Amino acid sequence: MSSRAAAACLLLPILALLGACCGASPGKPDPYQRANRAIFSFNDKVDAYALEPVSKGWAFITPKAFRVGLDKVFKNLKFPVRFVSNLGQGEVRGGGSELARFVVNSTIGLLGFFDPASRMGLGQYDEDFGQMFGRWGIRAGPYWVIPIVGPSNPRDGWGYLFNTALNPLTYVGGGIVAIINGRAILAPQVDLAREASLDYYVFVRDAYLQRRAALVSNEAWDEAQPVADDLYDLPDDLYEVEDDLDDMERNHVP
Amino acid sequence: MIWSEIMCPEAARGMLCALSLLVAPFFAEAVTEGLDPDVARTEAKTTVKQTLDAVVAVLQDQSLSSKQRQTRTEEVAYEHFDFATITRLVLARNWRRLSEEQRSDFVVEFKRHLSLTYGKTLQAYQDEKLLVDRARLERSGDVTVRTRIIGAAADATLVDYRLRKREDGWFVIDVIIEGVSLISNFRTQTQEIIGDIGPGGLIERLRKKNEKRASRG
Repeated sequence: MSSRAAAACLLLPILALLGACCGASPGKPDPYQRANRAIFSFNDKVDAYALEPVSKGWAFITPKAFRVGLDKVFKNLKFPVRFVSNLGQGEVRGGGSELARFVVNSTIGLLGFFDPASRMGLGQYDEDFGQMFGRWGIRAGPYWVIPIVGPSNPRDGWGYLFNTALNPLTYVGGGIVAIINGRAILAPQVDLAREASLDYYVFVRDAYLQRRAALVSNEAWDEAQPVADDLYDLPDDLYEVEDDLDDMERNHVP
Repeated sequence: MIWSEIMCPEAARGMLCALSLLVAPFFAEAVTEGLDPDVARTEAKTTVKQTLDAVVAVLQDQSLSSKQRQTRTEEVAYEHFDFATITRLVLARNWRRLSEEQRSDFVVEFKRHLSLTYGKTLQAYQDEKLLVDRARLERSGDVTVRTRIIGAAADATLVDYRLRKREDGWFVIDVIIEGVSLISNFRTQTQEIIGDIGPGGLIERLRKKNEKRASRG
């Protein structure tokens, strides 16, 4: 598993170069759909035959509160990623808050198992390298599914490399435990996504693209979002066009 | 006009009535636009709170079988979701590619699909705390209400409900989970599927899926 992940990491820069050379046409969200679908289905099988069963076993032998606490410990350890990418976006306040959170939660919070920092009013500023690159104006590029890693794009792929390099878990081989534990926590959502989607591949792709866009934008929630608004407009000419079609059909009747 | 009013007030009233019916749709929109933001936010938040309370009550009722529980949560969704608007928003311009019969088939199957999904989603959060947080007024007059699910993972899960006002109250027209709009997601899915196998294929797939899920309980 980890050797495959390593292989994926090595492949990534090459893929990024390829992506840059080919210069996929903008506007088309998924120009490599055929390849992506194949990799997606491979990843899905890896999940179904390896990750999911292992995470089920893990969930069976651990209490839920422990898994959630452990999730917090792993998240606490990823502090360098959040710290650097906050500062990289000029978010001094965010970086400072994350630093204070790390100090408080690593000590009083028993390595981050508990979160006393939040109760002290130290807010979370979740950032990663992909988001930082996005803030710098680097475009996401075409959608990619990377073997083992999952949904990504050139920008977030590079971000993933930096995130991994700055995650202490990478160097103690704890990443796999974090993945298994995380998968156990996400089990209800994954089951639901598989069940509720009409096309699981498209469901995941769209969810990924929407989620990353929301994370990069960093907009204050309380302000109305103009971009979101036109999604909810019912097109006025919907029925007019329909009438046109009816007319056309009628005219074609011999 | 004046002549007729003097001579025949009954008829004038009738005309006024007819006139008001004609302009009623414009007034309805004006109501949304001139809505007091604070009132709108409070009303929408109340609707979301009622919906979640109703769902939590169902989930906590130990006397129900899991099948009954599923049916009850679906009923709650039926009560507070505007499925007609949701369906049209999801299909958007593809709506016109469906025949009259396909449209009504799609509405039925999609409503069933969404209710099943909503019920299942909340069942997954049975042990968690659901909190209604705050609300914002959108430019269109819709209101988005933020809720948080606490205790499932390291972070709270943020679920936003977008509501639209109708004459009979506020209704949910979208659920946005961690920044992912279900309307937008389903629109992308249905677009690709209609592009591949046409509207008939889409409805058939939806129907099969619903049957399979319902039989599983």
